[in-house]
Amino acid sequence: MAKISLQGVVKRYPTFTVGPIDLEIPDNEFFGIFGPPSCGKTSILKIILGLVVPDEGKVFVDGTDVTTLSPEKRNMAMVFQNLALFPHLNGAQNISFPLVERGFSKEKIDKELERVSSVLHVGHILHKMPAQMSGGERQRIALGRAFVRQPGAFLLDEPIAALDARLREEMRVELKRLQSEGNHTFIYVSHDEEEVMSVADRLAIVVDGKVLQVGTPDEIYNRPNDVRVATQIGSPPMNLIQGNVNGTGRFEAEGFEFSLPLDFLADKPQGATTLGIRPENLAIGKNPQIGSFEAKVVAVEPLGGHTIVDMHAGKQTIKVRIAGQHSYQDGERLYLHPDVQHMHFFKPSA
Amino acid sequence: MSSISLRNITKRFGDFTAVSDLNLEIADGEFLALLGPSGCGKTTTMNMVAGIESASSGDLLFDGKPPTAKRIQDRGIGFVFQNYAIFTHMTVRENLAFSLTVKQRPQSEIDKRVNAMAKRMSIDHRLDQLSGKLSVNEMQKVAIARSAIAEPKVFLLDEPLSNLDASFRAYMRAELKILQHEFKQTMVYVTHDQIEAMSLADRIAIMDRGKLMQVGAPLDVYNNPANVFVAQFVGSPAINLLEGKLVTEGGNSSLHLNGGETISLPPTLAKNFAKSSTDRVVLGIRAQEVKAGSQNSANEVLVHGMVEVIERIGPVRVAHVHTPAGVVKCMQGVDATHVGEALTVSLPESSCLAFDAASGNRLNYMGH
Repeated sequence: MAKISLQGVVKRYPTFTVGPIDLEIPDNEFFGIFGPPSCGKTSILKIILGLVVPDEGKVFVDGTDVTTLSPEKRNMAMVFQNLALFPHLNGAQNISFPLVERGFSKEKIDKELERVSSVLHVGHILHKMPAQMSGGERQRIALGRAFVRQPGAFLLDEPIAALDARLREEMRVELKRLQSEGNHTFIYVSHDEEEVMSVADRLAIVVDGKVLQVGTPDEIYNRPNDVRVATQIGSPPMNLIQGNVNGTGRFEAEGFEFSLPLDFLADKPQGATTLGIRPENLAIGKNPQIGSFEAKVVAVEPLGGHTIVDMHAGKQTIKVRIAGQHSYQDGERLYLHPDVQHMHFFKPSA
Repeated sequence: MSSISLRNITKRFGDFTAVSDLNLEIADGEFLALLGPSGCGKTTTMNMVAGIESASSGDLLFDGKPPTAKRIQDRGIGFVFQNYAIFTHMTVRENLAFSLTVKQRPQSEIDKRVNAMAKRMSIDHRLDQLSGKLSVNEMQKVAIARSAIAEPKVFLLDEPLSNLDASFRAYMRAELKILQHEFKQTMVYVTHDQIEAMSLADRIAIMDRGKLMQVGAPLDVYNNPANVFVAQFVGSPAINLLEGKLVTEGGNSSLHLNGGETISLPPTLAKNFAKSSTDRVVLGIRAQEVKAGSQNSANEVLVHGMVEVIERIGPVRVAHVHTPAGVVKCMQGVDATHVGEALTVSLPESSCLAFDAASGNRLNYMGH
C-alpha cells in the first residue's frame, strides 16, 4: 500500500559503508533484499524504517520525503527474526497490543482481531501463551501484531530463519499468499537465497554495502550481471571455471579442456576468462562427444527428486544437478557436457 | 572404528519419555543420520551414545560390549556441536593441537598431524591466527578439524551446519561426506534438515516423539516410506497428502476427498486402500510426479483446482494448485502455468502412496 524510494542513500559506519543505494519499490510488491551475512541488508531496512538516518541521500514514501521522519510516523511494521512477543500476554493480547496502546474501543479491537486471525489462521492459538506455542505459531502471532496496525509497508528481517527447515518451506508460501491476497508492500530481508528467490516479485542483491543487481528472480538467476551475484544465487551455486579461450575455439582450464562452437564464440572475447555454468546445465555421459570433457565422480548426494554429483576435472570440483535418481560409483570416470546456451563469461577474478 | 548397538533404549525425564524403546544397529564405519523435528528425541539419543546421558532402561553396546572405560574422554568419541566449541583465545594451531597435547604426543607428531589436517580442511592459511577472529564458517571448520584430528572411533555431530549460511552449507555437506570416506569413522549425525540427511548419510533413522519411525538408505525412505510421518518429513517440496473416505459401489472404488470432491480410483490403488483399518485413507504423491493436465490414461487420478502460487526453487517451478481437498503441488508441465489459471492435475497411479488415515501406516509398503 506504499511506494518506497531510496535515492543516493549512503550510511557510513566506522569500518563499513552502505551505499550509495538507489531503489524503487512500487506499491504492493514483494521485494526481497538478499546478501551474505553482514553485507548491509539490515541497515537498508533500518533506513527505510527510520531507525537509522542516512548520511547522504533521501528516502521517499509515496512521494513524500521521510528521510528525517521518526519511525512511528512512517506507518510501517517490522517483523524481526527474534520475534519480540510479550511473554506474559497470550496470543490475542499480543496481536491487539498496538490497538490497545492507541486507545481503540473494545468492539473495534475485537473486530480487528477477528479479521487478522482469520487471515493468519491463528484462531485456535489465541488463548495460548508464547511459551506454549511452537516456533511457527509464535511467528504467526508476531505477524498478526504487524498486520493489525494496517501499515503501509511490512519490513521483514529474516522472519523465518529460526524455524525448522520443513516449517520454513510452509511459511514462505504462506507469506507469499498473505502478501498477494492483501495487496501489501513487503520488504523481505534474507540470507537464504532459495527462500527469497521463491517469494519475491523482484529482489536486490547486496554485497559489501552495494546493490549489485535488481531484477525478477528469473532475471537474477538466468542473467547475473556480476560473478558475485552468480555465485550467491543457486543451490548448489554456479560452478566457476578459470580458463582461457584460445583462437581455435577451445576452452582451456587447469588440467582439462573442451571445445566451444565457433559461431557461439564470435561475439565473445578471447583470452583469460571465468566461465560460469549452473549445476543443472551440465549433462553427464558415458562416452566423450564434441564439447565434453572427462571428470571423476567424488561424491553423490541423492536427494530423491534430484541428484547432485560432485566431480573432479583437473583440480576443479564441479557440481552437477540431474533430475531424478541416479547411481554413480565414487571414482567413476564420466564425461561432462556443458550446455553452451547457459554459459556465462565473467572477467577473470583477481 | 566401532559398531554401536542400541537395544530397547528408553529415556525418561520425570514423567516425560524422551526416547521410547529404541532399537538401532549402527555398523562399523557407517554414516547414520538421526532425523526428526525439534523435540523428537534425536539429540537425547546421541547424548546417550556419547555417555552424557544414561538410559533409563535398555542396553548400549560398542562392538557388542558395554562401554567399559568409565570416563567419557577415554571412550574415543569426537563431538561437533551446532555452536562451534573452540577455544577462541587460542590460535587455530593451538586448537587443532589441543587433544594431541593433552595426550602428550611428541611435538614432531603433533606438528605433522596439525599441518596435514589444516591442509585437508583448507584452513592452513589461518593456522597462526586467533580462532575468535575467524568467520563463523571457518570456526566451524576448526571445530570439525579439532575433533577429527584426535581420530575418534565414533564421531558425533549435532546440527553442525545449522548456523552457517546457505551456500557454505552446501559446500560443507560435500566436504563432510568426503571426510568420512577418508577417515572411515562411524558417524552419527543429528539434524532436522532432511536435505542434509539425504545427501550425507548411508542410512537415515527418522524419529518422531521419541519413537523410531523408519531406518533405511536415503532413497529407500524417500521412495518407500513406511508411514505418513516419514513420507511427509523426507523429500522437498513436502509430499502432497489428500485425505478422504473410501467408497466402494458395484465393484468401483472412489475417494470422497475432504472438501467435497469425489475422485474415482484405478484398480490397484483401490485394492491397496481396501486394506485400511477404517474407511479413512490418505493418498500421498510427490510434487515431482504430478503432471499438469489429464494424460488420458486409465491409470491416473485427476483432481481439479486453481493455481494459487507459483514457487520457484532453484531451476524448477512448483505450481501450488488449490483444490477443495487442499493444496496439490505440481512440478511437471508447469513451465507456462500462471497464477489464477484453472488446472487439472494428473496423479499417475504407480506413483501414488496409500496410507491408513487412522494409524498413519502405509498400505502399499514394500517391507523388507
